[in-house]
Amino acid sequence: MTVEEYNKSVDLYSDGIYRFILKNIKQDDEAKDIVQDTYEKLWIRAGDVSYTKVKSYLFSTAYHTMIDKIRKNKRITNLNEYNDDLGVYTDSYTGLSEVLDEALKQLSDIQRSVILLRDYEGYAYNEIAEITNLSESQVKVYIYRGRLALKKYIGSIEALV
Amino acid sequence: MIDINRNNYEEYFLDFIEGNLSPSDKNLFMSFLDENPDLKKELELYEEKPISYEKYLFENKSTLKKGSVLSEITSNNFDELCIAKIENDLTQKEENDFDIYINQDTQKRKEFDLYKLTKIEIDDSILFKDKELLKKKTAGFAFRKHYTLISAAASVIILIALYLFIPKSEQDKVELPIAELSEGKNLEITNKVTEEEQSANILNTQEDKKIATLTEKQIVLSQKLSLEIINTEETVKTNYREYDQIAQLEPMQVNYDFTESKNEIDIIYVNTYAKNYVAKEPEYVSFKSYLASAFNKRILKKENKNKLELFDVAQAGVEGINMLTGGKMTLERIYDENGNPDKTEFNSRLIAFSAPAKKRLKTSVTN
Repeated sequence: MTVEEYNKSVDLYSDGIYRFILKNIKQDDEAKDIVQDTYEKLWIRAGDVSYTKVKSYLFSTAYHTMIDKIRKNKRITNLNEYNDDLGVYTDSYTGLSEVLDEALKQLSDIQRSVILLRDYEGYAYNEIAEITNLSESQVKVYIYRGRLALKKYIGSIEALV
Repeated sequence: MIDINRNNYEEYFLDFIEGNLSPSDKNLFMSFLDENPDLKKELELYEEKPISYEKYLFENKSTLKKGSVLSEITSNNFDELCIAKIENDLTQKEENDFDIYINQDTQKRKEFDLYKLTKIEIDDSILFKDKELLKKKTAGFAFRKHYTLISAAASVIILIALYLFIPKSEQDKVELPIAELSEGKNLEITNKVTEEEQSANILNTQEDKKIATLTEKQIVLSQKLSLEIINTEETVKTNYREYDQIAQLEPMQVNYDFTESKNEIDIIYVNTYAKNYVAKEPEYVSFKSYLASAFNKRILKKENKNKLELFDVAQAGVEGINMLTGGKMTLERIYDENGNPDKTEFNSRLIAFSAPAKKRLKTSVTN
């Protein structure tokens, strides 16, 4: 991959990666760090990564970097603190996006990731499987369970409002 | 072909049926059958058609086939169908059937609408604003790509440049003996010195430094000055050990408070210390000497050598590069007929040059 192709990949995919990570971890600084780490790793391996595969490489690297950080953070933070927010419905929702954001929090990390890759980037099941190191069947199951959970959450909000 | 008999005829039966017998064998086989009519009847059984598989077909295929997904919609698979619909996993026909189904049932339609809401739309307001920080310059890329090669070349050039262009006098400061005394000359020193003489020589430093650190050079200087004192005073005389060269003296740390010195004891101390120091093997080596010794021992494979020449370092660097790159660069020192360095030659595939050796400056301390 040439330096021009590298810079082009920054223009094309950095927004998508940042959005994907931010939606997952909800921390702006962490998301920016992960994007930078991802592109640093790409820069180091620029000679090995083909431009045609760069998007997949970037999302895969960002995803695994994020999972590593999440696991690291979970070791030092109380999980209950995170889950306390789940299932608490407030009547301050102003739109569907907020409801969806809250609904996404209910999903497991892997469910959230595969659904975001599917919806944001339009990846096929096999591409998501490649990025997340899962089998295609596992990806389908995670998406199914994730959609089911999101639908239940949204339905319960509608019932309350 | 061996003879056909009643013990081996089955083999010929099979070959005959499959058409593998040669014409001559076939004639022999037919003659054999004519002689054995019972076997001819047996052959007719062999010649019947193979078993027909069509007799054993599974007739209930239709019971296994799936009809339209809608024909089997239950409360369990409705969710699956809704998700398949929003994931675009249904065929066109299945989609049409599904649309018809949910439009007939308001509750199902509402449920499907909830599923449609789970499709997350891209939030275009979220942008990564630091793209310029991530981008790289072309020059940097080229440097990174050839980083190893450029580093190696730079190292060689620096080492060669150091060797060739640093004035020899500077190098000699490290390498050459710091003082030479004439061979066989008896020296006389005194341990009595007047206060005026003290103030005129090395002890000038005591005005500026409370704690002085003496190097070997200072010690030799003090000896020289002491010798001058002898010529004028001619008091107590002692035989001073003669030596032809104070070579390779290592820096010696002498922490001595000169502020307390008021008389000739200081000079005596310094001279005595110098004499003892020269007579003994040094117990400690400086860091620089240790590095030079280690480099000579491990890289250049030269034992018992405590000084390091830049030429040796440059030559080791060139050999190292050759080892890494498989190149054939050479760095050689050419000597004249007297055995003195005449010139230094560097030769590589791309560049070759030679530089005349600089004459060493002989430094000596005369008395």
